[in-house]
Amino acid sequence: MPEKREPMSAEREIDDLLKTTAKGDRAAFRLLYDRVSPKLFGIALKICRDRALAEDVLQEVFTDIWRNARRFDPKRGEAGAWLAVIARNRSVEALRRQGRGIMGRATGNDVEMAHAADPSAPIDGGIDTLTLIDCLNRLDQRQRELILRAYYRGESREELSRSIDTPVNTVKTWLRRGLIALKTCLDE
Amino acid sequence: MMGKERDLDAAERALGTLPRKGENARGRHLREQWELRLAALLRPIEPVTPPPGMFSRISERLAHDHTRQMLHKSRRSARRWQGFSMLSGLAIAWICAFLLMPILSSPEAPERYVAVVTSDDTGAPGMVVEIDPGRGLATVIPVGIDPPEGKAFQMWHLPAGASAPVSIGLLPKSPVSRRNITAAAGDIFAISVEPSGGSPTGQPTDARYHGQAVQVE
Repeated sequence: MPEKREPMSAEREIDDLLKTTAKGDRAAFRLLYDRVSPKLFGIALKICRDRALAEDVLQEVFTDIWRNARRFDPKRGEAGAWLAVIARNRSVEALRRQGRGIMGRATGNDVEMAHAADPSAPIDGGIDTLTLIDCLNRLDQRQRELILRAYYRGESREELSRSIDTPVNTVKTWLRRGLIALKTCLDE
Repeated sequence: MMGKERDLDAAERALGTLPRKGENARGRHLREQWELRLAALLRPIEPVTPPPGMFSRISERLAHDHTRQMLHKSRRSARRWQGFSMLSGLAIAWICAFLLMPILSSPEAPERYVAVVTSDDTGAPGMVVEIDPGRGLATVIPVGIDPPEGKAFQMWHLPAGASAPVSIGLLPKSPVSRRNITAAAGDIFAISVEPSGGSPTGQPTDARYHGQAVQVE
C-alpha cells in the first residue's frame, strides 16, 4: 500500500535542503537560497542597518552555509534557527569590522520589535518566541534592555557601558543576572 | 570553573558580549544552545527580498574560494623563496595572475580585467580585484593580510585619468563580489592603513599596497 504522504512543512523542507546541500548538491543550495535568503537578508539589514553591508553579509552567510552545511545537527535544533543564527552572528562581526561607524543612525525600538512576533514566519527558533518574550518581560527593565541591545545591535560590554552611562562591571553584573533569570524562566 | 559560570560565559558569548577566544568544545556546545534559545528573537524580523543577481554573486564568490586558497599557498612559498633569491614583487604578482587565468578565461566572458594589488615594501600581494564588465561584477579576493593592531585596511579605486581615489570599502576577510565597482585597464587599486572604521577624511591616510588593472584575454 502506498505510504500516505503529509505535505512537507516549510521547516522540514529547509532541513532537507540543508542536508542535501551538505552533500555538495548545488541545485539544493539554490533552492535553499530561494527559500531562506529573504529572511536572512532581513536579519542582516535589521542588524547592519546598511544595505551595502547587509549584501556583503548575505554573501558571507551563504558561503558559510555552503562550506559548513555538514555541521548542522538536527538533534540540536531546527535548520531555520541555525541559519538565522549564522546571519545574526555574521552581521554582528561585519558591524565590528566597520568599527560601528553606522551605529549612530536612528533605530527602531528593539523591545517593540521583539513583540512584533509573527507566528506564521517560516523560520522559527527552538523556543517559542512568545515564551522568550514573556520571560524577557519578567526581567528588570535594565537587564532586558542590555540583552536586547547586545543581541540586535551587537554591542559589547564596553559599548553598552557607554550607551547607558554605567560602569562596565555593573553592566556585566546586570547582564549575567538577566541571563540567569532568563534561563530559569525558560526552564520552568 | 563552576557549571553555572561556564553557562553564563557561554550565554555572553552567544550574545557577543564576551569574545569566543579560548572557547573549548564544552563551551562551544553550551554557546550553541544559547544561540538557538535566543534565535526566537530573530523570528519577528521581516523578510526582505535580496537584490537580483545576488545568487550569482554568491556563486562567483564560491568559485573564487579555491583561487584564494591557491593564492595563500603561493604567498607562503614566495616568502620562502624571498629568503633565498629576493624574488621580486612583480614575480609574485605574476604567479597570482597566472593562478587566476583558468577562472578568467571562460568563453562567456571574453573581456575581463585583473589587478593584483601588492605591497610597496615587500611586493607581497594584498588582494586581487577581478572585473567582469560583461556581468557588471567586480570580485575582491583578499590574500589574508592583517592590518596593524587597532587599524583597518581600506580599499581604493582610482579610475585612469581621475584625480582622486574613491573608497570601495574596508578590505573584507573573504572574497566579495560587488556591483558598485566598474573599472577598466589602467585603473589603479590600492589598500591603505586607516583608523578602525575607515578613513576619517574620505581619502587614503597611508596607502601601502597598489596595483594596476590589466586586461586578461
